[in-house]
Amino acid sequence: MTRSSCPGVVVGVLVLLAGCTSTSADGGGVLVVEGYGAEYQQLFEDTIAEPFTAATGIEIRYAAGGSASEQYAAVRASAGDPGFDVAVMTSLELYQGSRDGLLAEVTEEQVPNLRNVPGKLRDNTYGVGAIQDVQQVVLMYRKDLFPQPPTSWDVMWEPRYRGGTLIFNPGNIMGVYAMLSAAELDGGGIDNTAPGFARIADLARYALATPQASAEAVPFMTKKTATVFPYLDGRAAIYARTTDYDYAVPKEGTYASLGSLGIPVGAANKDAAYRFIDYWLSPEVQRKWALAYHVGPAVTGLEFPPDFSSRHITTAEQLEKTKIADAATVVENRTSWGEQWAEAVR
Amino acid sequence: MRLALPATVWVLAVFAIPTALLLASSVLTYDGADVTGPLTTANYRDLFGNGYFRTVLWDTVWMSVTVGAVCTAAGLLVAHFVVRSGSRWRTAVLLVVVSPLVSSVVVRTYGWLVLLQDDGLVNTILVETGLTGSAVPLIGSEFAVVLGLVHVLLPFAVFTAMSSLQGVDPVLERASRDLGAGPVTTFRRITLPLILPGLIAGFMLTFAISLGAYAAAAVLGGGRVQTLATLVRDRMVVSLEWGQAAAISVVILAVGTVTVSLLLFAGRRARKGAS
Repeated sequence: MTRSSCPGVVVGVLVLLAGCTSTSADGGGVLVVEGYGAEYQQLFEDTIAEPFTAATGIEIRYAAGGSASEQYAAVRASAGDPGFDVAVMTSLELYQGSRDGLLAEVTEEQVPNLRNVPGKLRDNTYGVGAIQDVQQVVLMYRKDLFPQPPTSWDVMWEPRYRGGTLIFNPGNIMGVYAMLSAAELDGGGIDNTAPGFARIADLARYALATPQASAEAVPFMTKKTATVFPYLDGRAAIYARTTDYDYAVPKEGTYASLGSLGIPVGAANKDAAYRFIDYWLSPEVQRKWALAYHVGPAVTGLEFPPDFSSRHITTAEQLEKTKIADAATVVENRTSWGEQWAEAVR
Repeated sequence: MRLALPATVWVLAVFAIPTALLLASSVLTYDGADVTGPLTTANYRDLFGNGYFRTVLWDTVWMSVTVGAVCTAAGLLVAHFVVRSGSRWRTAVLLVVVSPLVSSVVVRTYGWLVLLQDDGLVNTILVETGLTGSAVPLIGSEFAVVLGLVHVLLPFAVFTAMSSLQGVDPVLERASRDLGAGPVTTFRRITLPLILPGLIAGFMLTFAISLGAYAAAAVLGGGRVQTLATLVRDRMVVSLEWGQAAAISVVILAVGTVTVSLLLFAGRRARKGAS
């Protein structure tokens, strides 16, 4: 390379680097959001990303990653600088991020709309994120097998249905909640899970499958081989419209899975991340997202159609009745529960 | 000597340093994401004191031995057909055996998922031919994992067996037949001793890859079959116990190294015996 060509190369490299920075052409910046794939991504783009960009000028670059735990594993492996500014996860990862000091603090000063979020949900953010939606574990059932919706988790153990049940792996948080619900049927609970694993061992002899991801349940619905199984209400509502299945909340009550947003401590664009979370927590966006994803909003007091309200957690009373598992206990025991589950289904 | 330098740097960079880091990670004390305490053997003590881990270790070794044995036996049959028979189908058979190598292991594994489902091709054949009264739950069984691994790894065993067979002069086999030995005796007394080092190499390769294989166990195991590789993933991602994940990886490395060393020793003995 000649001496005279060096400045040209340097300028070229600088131009390339400038193109890689987080400032878009209109000066609004780029926010990198890591979340789930499949239908979630499309809903996010339509309901959250595009209106947010239109309102703020901040472009969102969405990366469809894996599960919430995989996203937090990336945060931890990179010591809080995984390359994205906001991660869509659950309250369990917020707990871990708070414990590890790898998620940034989120306060009312940074996110004013946090004040609309009920205390029961805010208690589960551990000061390092925000909850943006509330899902609940429901019983998904095949309509032609149930003239009336099932009313108890116990229905999965009935001889005529047990051959078509699904036992979710506790690597998926829904599997943990299903196990806790099973334990509660026989007097157990989060501090005494033995009855839950005894029930899983009993059911495993007949169950249709032991999936890890909720998407794995879809073929069993399209082929109508599943009878009744636990599912989260967001996806349940989608497949209740496209398959011969419907869903119900059993009389014993159920557990909530709290969809959460966390900002890694090393995020490049924290200001935009706070604006983004504030935008998602605004009442109008909360309502739109709840209706689009078929989940409960993180703020109460919003108006919803009656048939929607009856099937999702939309009011303060419904939220109060819903169980939220203690994150510290779940995180502490997840390895042991995973092993006990694997022994039970062998 | 000059040429040895790049090779040494390469081996250090891609093998020695990562292995040293892995070993170090397995004896560090973590508090969350931070390394806090002194060096410890607690991760190993916890693992080997855990009955569940011992079961998974045994299952993984057993499945890997099975995969290695099946691949070696099937590889020998295919290699013998390709090298020794005069069939015009030799090239076609070789192409079929090699074809798995041109697609991703994940795609191949998902292919088996489709075939082995309750209403998949395998169960349809079993039920339609009356071999079973109803569909057999294949997904979530060790059989499915072994089958998926054999499909993926068979080409390695075929190539090593082919290479050994091509090194055996057919004149030796013809001489044996001329002296009155049957085909089985000829194979057992002449061919097998000469190709044994190649067969051992094929077994070694397929066994070692099976030990750490993740996709087949994760997809075809259906959550019910746990192997050391899936356990590493759980410890890394779900429970975030990186020290234990590193310790399990070291166990995989150790089991592979010990087995390969023993087989190398056996191969050397076999070669000496054959010569």
